[in-house]
Amino acid sequence: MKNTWIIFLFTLKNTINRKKFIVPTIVMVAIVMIVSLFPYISEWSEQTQSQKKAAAQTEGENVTQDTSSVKKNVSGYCYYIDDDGLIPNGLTALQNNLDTIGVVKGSGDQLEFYKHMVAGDRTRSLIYVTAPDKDSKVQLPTVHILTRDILTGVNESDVKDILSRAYISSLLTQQGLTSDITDLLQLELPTEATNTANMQLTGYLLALAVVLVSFFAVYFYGYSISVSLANEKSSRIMEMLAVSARPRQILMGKLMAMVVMAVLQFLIVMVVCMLGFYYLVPSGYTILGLELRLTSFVTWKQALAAVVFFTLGIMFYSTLNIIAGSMVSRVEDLSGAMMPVILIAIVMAIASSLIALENQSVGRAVRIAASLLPLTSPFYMPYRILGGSISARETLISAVVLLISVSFLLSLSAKVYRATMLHYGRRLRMRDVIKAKQ
Amino acid sequence: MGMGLEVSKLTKKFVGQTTVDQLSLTMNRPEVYGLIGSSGSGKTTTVRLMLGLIEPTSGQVLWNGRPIRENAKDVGYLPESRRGYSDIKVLDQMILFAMLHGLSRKEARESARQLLSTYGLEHTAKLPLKRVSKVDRQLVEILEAFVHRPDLVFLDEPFTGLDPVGAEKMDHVIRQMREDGCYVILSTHRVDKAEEYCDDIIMLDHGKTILSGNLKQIKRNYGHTNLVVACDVDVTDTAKDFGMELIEKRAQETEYRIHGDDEANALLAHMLSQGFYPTKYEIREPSLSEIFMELTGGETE
Repeated sequence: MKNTWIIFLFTLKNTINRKKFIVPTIVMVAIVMIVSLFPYISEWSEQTQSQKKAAAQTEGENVTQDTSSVKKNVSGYCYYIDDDGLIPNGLTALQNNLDTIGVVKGSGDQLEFYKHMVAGDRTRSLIYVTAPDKDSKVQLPTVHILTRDILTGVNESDVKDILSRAYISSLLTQQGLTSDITDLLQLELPTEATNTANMQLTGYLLALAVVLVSFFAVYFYGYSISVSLANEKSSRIMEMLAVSARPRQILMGKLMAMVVMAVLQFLIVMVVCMLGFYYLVPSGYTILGLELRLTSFVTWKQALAAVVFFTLGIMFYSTLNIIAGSMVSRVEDLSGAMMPVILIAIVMAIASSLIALENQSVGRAVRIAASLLPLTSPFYMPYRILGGSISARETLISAVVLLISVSFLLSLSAKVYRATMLHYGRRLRMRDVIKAKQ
Repeated sequence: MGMGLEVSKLTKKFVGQTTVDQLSLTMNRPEVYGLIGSSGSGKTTTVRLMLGLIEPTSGQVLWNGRPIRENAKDVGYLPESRRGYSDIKVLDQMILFAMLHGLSRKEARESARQLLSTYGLEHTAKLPLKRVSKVDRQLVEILEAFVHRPDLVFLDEPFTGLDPVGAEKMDHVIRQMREDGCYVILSTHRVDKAEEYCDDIIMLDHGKTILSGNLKQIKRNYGHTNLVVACDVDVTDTAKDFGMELIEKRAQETEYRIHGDDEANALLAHMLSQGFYPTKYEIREPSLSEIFMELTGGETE
């Protein structure tokens, strides 16, 4: 134990005050600050653009006179062009049903102008109706919807629904049915949908940040420990260390130092992330209509559990990197040896994120497997923990499985390290290690 | 409980091959013990076996009556072609090695500073190794193996990779260890160096011990000595007539193998009777290189 502690302190001291720890930490903190500023900048930019557009419109465009007549307190405007009246009462139907959008009647001869406006203003949309193609079998008017991007403007599904009902209503009215009956015929049963799993956007984004930092730490610290082993082997320092310290002691000391630095870096970034969110993200800011909320969401137990899985994840993948690093005797051969581990980490991180995103549509067996499999649990469990969709019992089981896996791998890595520490020359394969006898 | 180093029938077999075969040696007093052999003879494997870095197939190694792994603080090891941590300060890495061998932090720091001071390297203490001059770096890398002042030291090809200045410093270190009363195992293919430092030697060839014992005794018992003659006249043919074998003809002198002093005396008497007066006439023991070459049929440096 004493030798482990000596090597731990030595490794920690000679890494923590060096550029390769300080610079990435500063870079990550800067990235978090910039990302936290993004909502603020985005809202400021939108306000500025709206003011500019409004100023331009007061110079005598017809559009401004139209918008001034529509309801106030809307998030944007939509121009509706149906010069031929192909959908009777379409404008009225849109105005009555789109609560947050101000619908304005537009003119067909200004179509290109509207298109240009929409392209330059995320709060503007355009709907124009065209006559059916004469050769078409089904003679129905076509509704064209133009927004700046898929996240802004009118909702396509809502517009389609409103105008379809208006059109059908007009057809039925032409057939002599009264408005009461036409309304009844287009009635939708009231429904109420509830999600048992509370998909908190904030939790998902926070977990995504944790997973990104985890992946970075897995790569960076795994690489650091492997480089350290390869350097010690090529310089024969390893033989000198092995005279006085057991291979397991050497590995444990190095691994503990790397884990401590990784956790420290993680905590710094997470604290900055929390502070950035609290002070820089505007209150009530939404993404895809979902509000970002942090307060009364992340409990200390969730935070602790996230740190535990981060730590165990680093240990798990670092021991895999130790095994990879032990196979080589030159630093130049290291990247090839580590590639499988890095690829596995990439695939597992992406898979975990996708499973978390598609939470409702993936099977329960998949979610359980991702929670228990040591390769995925470090990346998947933060989503479940910070998303609030896991019990303490499940969390504990997953942590225990991961801990047992880490212990097993540590034992294996010590054996591989001992079997390979006096090997120099070509990169070893696993079967060579298994065959090697001391 | 026996004191010193005792190696008994040490054997190591790898798949299909015996790398070290029944090697035995004893060191009862501080000295430099030579482990000699050409590349691939099993020297490095022997050293690693003695250090406990690899498990022997059979045999044992005891230091002061106990397995060597239990005495790590008494043991120093300088592997072949060893380099230090290039990015870490000299003093820090010396302290690491000293602490791993059982010294406290304070003791390790004092020992390191003392050692650096002894060899005029105080200025390197706070520098990363890569910023130290090549000459000083070589010496620092050597000293890191002994910073904890071990009683038993293993040197595996210590002269490999050293330039002449570094080799001279290595010479000084070995001599200092002798004076300090260390037990030193010097593993080398440099037979001339072994001859310079060693009292006892063991000679390996393909893992087998082909010669072992006190160096002087070995030379004395070898069965012949050498005669070096420098003369204005070439006496090679005459020497042959007296049963001598030509070893080497050099620019200023010629060396012959003789089977006893009588042969040399007879040749001298003949030369004098013929009026040939040699400027040099020396009887000496065979060199270790010659003995090695004869036994192994190989070349040494």
